[in-house]
Amino acid sequence: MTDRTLDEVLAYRKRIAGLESELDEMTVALAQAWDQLVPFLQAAPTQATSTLDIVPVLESIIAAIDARMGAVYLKRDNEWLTIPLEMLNVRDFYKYLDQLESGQIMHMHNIPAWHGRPTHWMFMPILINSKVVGAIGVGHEEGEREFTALDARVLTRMTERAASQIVAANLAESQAREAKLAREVQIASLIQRSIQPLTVPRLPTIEMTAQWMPASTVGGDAWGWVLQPSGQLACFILDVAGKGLPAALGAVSLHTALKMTLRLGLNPVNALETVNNEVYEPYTNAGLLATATVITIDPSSGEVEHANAGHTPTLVRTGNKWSLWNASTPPLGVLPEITPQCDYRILQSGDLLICYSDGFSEIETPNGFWGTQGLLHAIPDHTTSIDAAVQHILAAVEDLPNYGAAADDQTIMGLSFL
Amino acid sequence: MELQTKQLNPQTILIHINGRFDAAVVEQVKRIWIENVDIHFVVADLSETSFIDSIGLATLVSGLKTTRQRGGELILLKPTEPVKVILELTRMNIVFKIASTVQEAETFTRTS
Repeated sequence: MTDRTLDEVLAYRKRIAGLESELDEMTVALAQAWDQLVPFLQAAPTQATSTLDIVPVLESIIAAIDARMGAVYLKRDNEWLTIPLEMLNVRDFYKYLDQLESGQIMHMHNIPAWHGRPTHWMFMPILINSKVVGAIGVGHEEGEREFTALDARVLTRMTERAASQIVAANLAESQAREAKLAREVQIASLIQRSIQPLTVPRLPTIEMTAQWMPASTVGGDAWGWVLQPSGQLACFILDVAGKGLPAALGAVSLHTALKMTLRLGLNPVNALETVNNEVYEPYTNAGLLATATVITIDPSSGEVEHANAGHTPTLVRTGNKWSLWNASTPPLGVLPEITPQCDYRILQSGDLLICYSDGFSEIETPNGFWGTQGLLHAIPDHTTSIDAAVQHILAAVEDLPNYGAAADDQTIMGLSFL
Repeated sequence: MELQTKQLNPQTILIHINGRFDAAVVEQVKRIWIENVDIHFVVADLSETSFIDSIGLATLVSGLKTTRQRGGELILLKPTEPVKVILELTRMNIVFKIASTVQEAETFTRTS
């Protein structure tokens, strides 16, 4: 080995020894810094909803890197806090906001502090999913000392800690919001269920049946019946356009309105006209519309009056012949005034009436929509009981190829004259 | 579903709705007249609309009311057979002006 090579080896060894010593010093310093952080971190809440919740983290950074001052900024509520208080004017900080978007450590030099002396600040953005949601910084008087790589490392790691506090708070907030919404939907569902009749009228000449099946927890369909002062049975089916809470709220209010008008003895045409007058404005404001069919039937004579506002056709079987009673006026809430027509018939023994929502007719089958014909074909000719007729329809739906869960609310209501 | 718009004149916009007109598209359609307050006339081109549900109908009614408040109108253009059936069953065919050509729709905008 030449003398020159030997010198180089010795120089390298010396440098390695120096670096090892430096590394040992940094390790000790880092360990001391973390030791100082522990008590502060124990006091830090697990969630941060304001700058105050981040103060323990900020205090820990100040202690660990022996800074004179600290600051924390949260973008969401534009919150700003310094330790000691009001050490740095937020307007000076705002000038550097754009630089924070880089996601890297940012230095601010010669920033006037409250005592008038220039200061040097080092800020690290608080990042959540690569998005800047705030920043934490530490400061010295300008020229007092430079921030080291170790200082930067402590600031970066502790800012990550603050970010995890904010993430935890956001998660808790969103879970609380979801739980509140779920409770509200549950209450809406209970209210909606409570307005659907639990029983059908027990009359010697009329058999009635109905099924109400919302597609989700709440829906826009409803049905109901009342006995009018004259002794007539009045019943109705309605469908508010849409799904979920808005449709459910619309269905509940419309159900109440229709029931009230019918309880007062109005005939189907007048009931629909009156209710439309009431709902037109609120429905216009809310962007809603509703279809409805109202029927009254005299239990002694079998006289039926029927009015349909935009609803699917009512299926009427007299003898062995099916006919349809179509809508005579647009749905409720579309026009300020409507003029429904009255369909009138005297039912004979064994005659059937079936009203249903579009959740049945708009079931998609491989051959297109199931449609009114789908319902009609589901009922065998010899069927005389309305309950059996409805059960045949429900069974036919279940038997449809590739039929899974209902995409829309399904309500069906039927009557037969005995 | 595919949605295309074409400005026919400063006050009139044509919305072409291709495919199903249902909950998936209604917010996008509504935004057109809500965000463009200068639009008085909307021509809803339903010539390639395969299906319209009750939410789609409610959206058209909402557009009709909005445009009428502005002194305008929402006109349906060439509804397909399935859409025509729904319009007739619900009696919504008496609510809307229905045009068979763009020229006819434009005539409606001049006479409204």
